[in-house]
Amino acid sequence: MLVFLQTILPFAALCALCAFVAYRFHLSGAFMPLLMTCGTMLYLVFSGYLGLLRPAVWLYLLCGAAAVFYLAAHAKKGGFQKVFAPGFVLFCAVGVGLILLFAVRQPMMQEWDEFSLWGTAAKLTKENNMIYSAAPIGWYFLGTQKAGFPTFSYLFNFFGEYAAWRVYAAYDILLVSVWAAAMGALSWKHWKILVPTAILMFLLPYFCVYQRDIYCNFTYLSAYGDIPMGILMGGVFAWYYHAKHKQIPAWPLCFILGAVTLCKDTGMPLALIAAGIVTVDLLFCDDRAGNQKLFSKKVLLPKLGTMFAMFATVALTFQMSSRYLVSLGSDQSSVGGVSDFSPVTVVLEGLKMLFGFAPSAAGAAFADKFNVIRDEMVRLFLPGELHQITMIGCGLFVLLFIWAILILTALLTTDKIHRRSTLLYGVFSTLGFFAYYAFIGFTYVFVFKNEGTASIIDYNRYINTYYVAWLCGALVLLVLGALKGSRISDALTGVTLVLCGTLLFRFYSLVQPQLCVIDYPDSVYTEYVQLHENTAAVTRKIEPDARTYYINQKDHNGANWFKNSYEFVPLVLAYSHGGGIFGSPAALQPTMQVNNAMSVAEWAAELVTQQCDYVYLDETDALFWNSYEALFADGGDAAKTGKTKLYAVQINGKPQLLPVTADEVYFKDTELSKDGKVLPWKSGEERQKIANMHDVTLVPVEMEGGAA
Amino acid sequence: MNKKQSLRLVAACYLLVLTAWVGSNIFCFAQDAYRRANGTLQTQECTFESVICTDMEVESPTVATTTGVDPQIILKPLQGAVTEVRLRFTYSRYPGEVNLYYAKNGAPFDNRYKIWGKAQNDGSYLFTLPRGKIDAIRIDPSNLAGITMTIENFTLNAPRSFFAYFKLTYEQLFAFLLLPGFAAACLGYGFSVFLNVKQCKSNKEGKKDE
Repeated sequence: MLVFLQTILPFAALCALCAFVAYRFHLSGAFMPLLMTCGTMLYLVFSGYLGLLRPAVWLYLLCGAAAVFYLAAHAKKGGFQKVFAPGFVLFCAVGVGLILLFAVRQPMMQEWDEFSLWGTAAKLTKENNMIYSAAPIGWYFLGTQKAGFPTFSYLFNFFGEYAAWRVYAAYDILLVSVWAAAMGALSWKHWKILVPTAILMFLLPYFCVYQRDIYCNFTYLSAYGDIPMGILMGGVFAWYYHAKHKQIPAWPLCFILGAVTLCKDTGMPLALIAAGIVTVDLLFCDDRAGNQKLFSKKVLLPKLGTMFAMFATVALTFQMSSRYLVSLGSDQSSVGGVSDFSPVTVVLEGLKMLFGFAPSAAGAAFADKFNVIRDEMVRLFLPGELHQITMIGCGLFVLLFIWAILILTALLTTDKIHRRSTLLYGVFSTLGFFAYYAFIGFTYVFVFKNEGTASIIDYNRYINTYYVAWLCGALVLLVLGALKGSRISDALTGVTLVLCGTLLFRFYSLVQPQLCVIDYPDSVYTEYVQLHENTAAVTRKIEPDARTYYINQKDHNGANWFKNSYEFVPLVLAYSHGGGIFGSPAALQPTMQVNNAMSVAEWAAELVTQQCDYVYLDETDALFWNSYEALFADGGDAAKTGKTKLYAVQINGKPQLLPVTADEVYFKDTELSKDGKVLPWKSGEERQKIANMHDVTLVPVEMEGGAA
Repeated sequence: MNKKQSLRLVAACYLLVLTAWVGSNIFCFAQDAYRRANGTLQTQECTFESVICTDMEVESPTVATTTGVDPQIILKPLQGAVTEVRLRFTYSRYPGEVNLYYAKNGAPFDNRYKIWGKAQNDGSYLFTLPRGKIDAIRIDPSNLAGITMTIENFTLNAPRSFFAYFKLTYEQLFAFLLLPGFAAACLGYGFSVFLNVKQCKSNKEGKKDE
């Protein structure tokens, strides 16, 4: 109950601020949630850049309280009809419902990138009350990613202890604010359009990802930024087209575009594409000035001002976030990865190769990879086996589906300007798609490390972001067409209802409510509940400033290391080679596969250089004890008998460190340079060993109830 | 349609669905009571020895250890109808996925006929099966090898109170919120179109008369 109240309080402040602005400026309440959530994200991130995240939230909550008092004082005067528009009521109701559902069911982080980035970032923000990029962590962190989502989720985790479900609640409230915007111009009397619109908006993310009915689906239960960023981009269209219908100025779009820029690194191109589509519509289809000509000076100047504001917001937001990261020591002049090109060079070199011009000498090195990636991306866009990347089908089918909606809208609407608007949206969103598609292709060529078709990792996730936004825009235009009227007896309302019914049927048959956010099985999180409890038993014994080395001899791919690193926050789990299997060259057999072959003296040196206070033995095996038993004061007895999993590192005096020699290296073909010298570890650390084995000792730490 | 008519239509749809839900639960209660009375629905306690176990080493009626990654507990043939399975096992360590499959009309077990257990307050998992003839049930108690399981409770058709039939699942709640509203919107749209067509016809006839 308490944790529910702790989460609902910031949400209440958000709703109160929405209601206040809508009431004060006589606007429909449905337009407010998206502006307010995006505005809140920008406000929190920029406050965080100034190191004022915590006071900023207090100020925000105070403003929320002041808004409540203001509204209460004006309650008798009335005039709240516009505030309580269906979109706003839905936002408040679904927001409370989601928080209640998550407070009861308490879903947890469970996907790879939630541990390696999104979830860890949200937890770091909460535990350190600062932007996650600046927070302390024991490993090279993807601190260059934009901080929008983790910082927004901080608001909902502000009171009480960190909980993953409160991060999900924050993300979903952002998504629901887009639903509200997609109903901006609809009033209660349009209930026959409202109902399918709400359902379509709920189903939207499900249709832009591929589903299998036998696995649990984590849409609305994920901290990944891709789909929310796509929906937020769709929110730009939803807000704009509805605002246009209601004759509301377009400049507040800057808040939404700024928020899209802060979602991820790919947020900026998406925000620019969205701003471009809106610009075209502003120029050729905006009839807000009534009967005046589209290009008269009186009409054109405000439009140019809005256009400038939109593009400037995106550029400034991106620039400020880059400046902040540079201040933390991050190199923002390069995209990193295999090429180390600047973002501009990536686009230029990519375009040259795409249009058949000769690339520069540096770019020419990627020509073969470019050809492979280009062919693969074309192949994946077209129908074929295993190309089912959305529930609608392959990319081409999504394009056709969206165009079918747009053509139906354009054919059936009675409003000429809306027809033009719809067709222009179709043309420019399609151009935007191909631009984004090419951009993603360029990143595969110049950033991703794998060669050939293996480079196309997470293709669906990156591309689906655009599909979500694209489809969202098309649905909004359909709904507005239904609102404006149809040539044939309300036909567009009929189309909306048929589309909704069809998608609902597909949702019930492919996703199934019992395998998604609605009624997911509890067993999905059993493993993570167990992990949380195991780690908590260890972290209780560790002091706040201590650093811990992690060992798990079953962690082949480092997944458990990421999971534990997330669970350890705010405590620091040392880099520990990112997990993997450890073994001493002396104990290794030729057939054994290990990730980290290092002698006992070398491992001891690493405990010293990584300033570790503890070693957490999550899983050990015979190889581990054969390799490193000598370092343990009790020979590892306490761990072997299940009494503990935690050992304290005792460093006696100042150990002398010596370089590792070529004879001590196990994988000579990969660990030695051409001239026979020992290469440093992948993290860049020099390989060293301790001179005296007695300088480092591991002492068991007693755990309540044993390690089991 | 005016505001009052719209409200009535929406209320009627919700009321209809609510009535259907209450009615179906009363029917299930009555059907189960009748079947219990004539012996076609019985409460059955199961052990590892009363079922078919594969990929498992049965050590005693209540203790077994998985020997592979696809351990299965198969209940076939079923004695009478099965409406729910209640399961509470103690595992030596995290067991991975636990779920239930059912087969109908002689068909093999299929991923489309798979049920995930609902965690209960007493730590057990409850699998509610669909109504109708079920030939066989397969429970996958784990997907890991080397897990020792001890049966605390493994019951088919445990007695249920009258009110237990009315326990609303999240799925039902979602459907209740969504579907009557959508049905009302469709019906409302249908009425509007019908009235529009009627209006158009009468207008045309009026013009002809003039």
